[in-house]
Amino acid sequence: MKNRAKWVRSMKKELPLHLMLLPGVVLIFIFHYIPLYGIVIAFQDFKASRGLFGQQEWVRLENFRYLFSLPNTWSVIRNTVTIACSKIVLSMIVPIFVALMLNEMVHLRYKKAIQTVIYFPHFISWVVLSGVLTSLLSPTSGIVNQLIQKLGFSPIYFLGDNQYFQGTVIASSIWKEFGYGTIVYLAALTGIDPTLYDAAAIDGAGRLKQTWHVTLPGMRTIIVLMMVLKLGDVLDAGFGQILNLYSPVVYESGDILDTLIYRIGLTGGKYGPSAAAGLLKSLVSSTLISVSYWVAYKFFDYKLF
Amino acid sequence: MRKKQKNQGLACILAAVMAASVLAGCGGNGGTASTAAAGTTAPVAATAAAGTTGAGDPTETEAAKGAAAYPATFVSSGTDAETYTKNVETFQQEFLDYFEQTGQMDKVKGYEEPVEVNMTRMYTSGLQAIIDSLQQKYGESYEENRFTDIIKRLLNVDISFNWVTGQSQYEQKLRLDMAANELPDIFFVTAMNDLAELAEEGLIWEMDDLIEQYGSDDLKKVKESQEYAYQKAMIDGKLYGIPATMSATDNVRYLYIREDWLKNLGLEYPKTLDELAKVIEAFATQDPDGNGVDDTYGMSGVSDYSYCFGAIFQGFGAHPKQIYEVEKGKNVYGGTTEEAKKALAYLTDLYQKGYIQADFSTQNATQWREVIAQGKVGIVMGNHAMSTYITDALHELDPSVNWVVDVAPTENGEMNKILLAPTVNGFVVVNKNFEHPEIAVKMADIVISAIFNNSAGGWWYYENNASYSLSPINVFMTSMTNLETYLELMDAFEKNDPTGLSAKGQAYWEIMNGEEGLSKWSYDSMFGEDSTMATLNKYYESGNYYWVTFNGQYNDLMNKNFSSIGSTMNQIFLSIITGQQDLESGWSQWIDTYNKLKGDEIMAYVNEWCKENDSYN
Repeated sequence: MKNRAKWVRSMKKELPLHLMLLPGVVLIFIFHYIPLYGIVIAFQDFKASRGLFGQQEWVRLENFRYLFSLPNTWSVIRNTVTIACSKIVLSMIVPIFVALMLNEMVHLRYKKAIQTVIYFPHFISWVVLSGVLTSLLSPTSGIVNQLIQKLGFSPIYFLGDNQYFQGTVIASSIWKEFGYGTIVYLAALTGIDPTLYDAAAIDGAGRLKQTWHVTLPGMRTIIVLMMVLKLGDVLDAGFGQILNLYSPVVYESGDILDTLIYRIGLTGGKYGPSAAAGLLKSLVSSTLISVSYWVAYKFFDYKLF
Repeated sequence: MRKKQKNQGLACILAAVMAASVLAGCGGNGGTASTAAAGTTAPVAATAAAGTTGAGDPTETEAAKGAAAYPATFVSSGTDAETYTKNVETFQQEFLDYFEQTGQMDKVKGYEEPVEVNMTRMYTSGLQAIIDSLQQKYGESYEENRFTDIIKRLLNVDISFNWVTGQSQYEQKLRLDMAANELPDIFFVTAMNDLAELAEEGLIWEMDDLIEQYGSDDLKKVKESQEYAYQKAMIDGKLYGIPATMSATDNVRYLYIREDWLKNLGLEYPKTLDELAKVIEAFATQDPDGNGVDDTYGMSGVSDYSYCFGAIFQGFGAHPKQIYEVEKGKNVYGGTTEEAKKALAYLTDLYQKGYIQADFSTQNATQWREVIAQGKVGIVMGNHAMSTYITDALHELDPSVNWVVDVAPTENGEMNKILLAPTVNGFVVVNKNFEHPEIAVKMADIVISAIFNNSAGGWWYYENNASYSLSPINVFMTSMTNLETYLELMDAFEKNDPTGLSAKGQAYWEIMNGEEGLSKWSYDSMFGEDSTMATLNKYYESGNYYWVTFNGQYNDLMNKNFSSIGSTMNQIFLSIITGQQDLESGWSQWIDTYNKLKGDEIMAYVNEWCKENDSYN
């Protein structure tokens, strides 16, 4: 009886919060849970004209078999993992590094200016940016290659050579997003108690030691949080970016699961195999995110839930 | 305490507003969905009703009406409204007279009660510009234009469009409609496997009897002369759509060279591929534009190598993306032939020497066009439509620039055979739930009569060679239409008299005798003297052509693997040309993949089909 009263009281107090949560929950339910039904397509010989709920023919794992009978499926998976993992690692390290550097800056106005400049590319869509990159990196007229040629080297075909394509994709993605990533870490830096630095200084720690023993441990929680969130993207190598940058010449090194799904499903109209590939990707991703969460929980004592 | 309560109240309201807006969003969507549903279910209900009373015979619901027209709902309003009204009225009168005289009036009878037809519209990149100019001149738009106007006047049919979308999205959007069971009444299907699926699921009308009963004599003539195209619309021996045929010569590749550059370097239009290689080398290295700077390439292009280097493949006798007959009854996939390999070796060599622009494969068509317009290349390959690319550079920037086109060079310098591919853009089909399937045939009758026997037809259908793209029913062309038009025009130019020209010829005559401008120049270079079509005529007159013989439906295996075969080939060929893979290892990898994807089995099916349908060169 008493408990109930307590529950009612707390409910009353928190009701506005629950209400504010509601739209988000509703949206997630509509756009993320209801479409889960579409998984059935992965096991059907899906004919669009019979409709999503119509009488479709069940084919067990035929779609998966088809998927792996395609000549490049394995290289696509390899590319996806390579590109995504490199992006995850670098998109952690680079912003942390930049945030530490910015933090050391004395001149406030200069710091703010840098921050704004590096933040800016985040707002440009890949559709636009890919056009810019294509002309910047062009081996014949691009400014980058002109510079390389001036230095006495032969021009590099960044977007059309399988040796360089992955690197270009990774570097350009990091370049676009590191400013945005930096903000989070800068915010974390402001939360560190300044007296700790004073104490460390008294103990004789220099700048580097202070960074190592005070700053980084202070950021630990947020770093782990960002890492756990990022690991969910381990098979997301950046659909928008690659779709806009690649061409058949670099399929070998640049084709990823999402672009393959897009080409099979939307361009080719084979919904079954396309859904199968999507399902596969989701399964691997959710396994990885569970593992990474478990790791974070076990070793860094980090709890999200 | 009070303040806190107030804050809480505010938060409540905020949350409520947010929730409401989310729900309102859903409500909005639901609303449109239900209207769309209402739009398509109405005819369903009507069919059901018709089914109970008239046993499904659509003729019974028609009014017995003679050669009269129905009141128009569209009033032209632009700067040239008079021309519009005059032409449309001429068109209408001539149409009615013609069908009256030939005793076919009952085939194109209108309806007492207005009939509503839902359709879809695909727009191409050029359509917006056309609409803008027609809007200004006559007040026409996507929804209301000469086509909807004539159809309303002649048939009392009101056309509305469920959706309008770009070419690249059309298939996807149509498949969504298929999945949602919200197909329009009369619509255009672009993919052959969609046509097969719609037919097999019983969602569209069979057209044999409809064409028999409602097709005009001219339509039937077209049908006879276009047997291959109608074969593509046959599923299990029954016809399910009216094919929108394209000219079969669109696949021929030509070699355009800048004449002023040839002259500058003292070279001639090449007859053999070796000579061509020399010209390419000279253009890349000997400063053909004489500006003292090394700023030219031998060739440029796009990732579609079979297009932008097409004349080279054709010169070797290779057609990489086509299935064609090498000897009677034996078909091959063009990419697997020795000829294709030779062409690859030729291109690899040129690329290695740096004569081909290094990043051609990542360019899009616009960028290629820029390279041409900037005067960086003097050799361009492609089909006859490339004339618009080169005329941009030709006259707008420098009137002294001149391009020549002739029979493409070959290995031994003798003219070789070009491959003519019967092409179908798509099929006009009718929703099984639509109670007046004959309207599709009647619309086709109207379009065909504009092309063949109406003095206003040239204006109506081919104005600026563009107005046809506003038509709700797509283009009908004979397979040799471009060549025929050229011959007709040459005749007319000789006599200096346009009478007797076909509708298309009339329209081109107007353009070619019109003001100086980009379209005049490009039509001169396509249909004038020494033009692309003149070149085509050289092949045709000397009998140097053969046909693609497979016009059947894809079987299951083909549906599954054929597109993978194509994309693998593109990938490997491009990496061979750009030197990332050497010729031998790349080639064997490609043949391996081809075998793994059961290319031979597919060719066996193709041969079988050709045998069954007696389709040989």
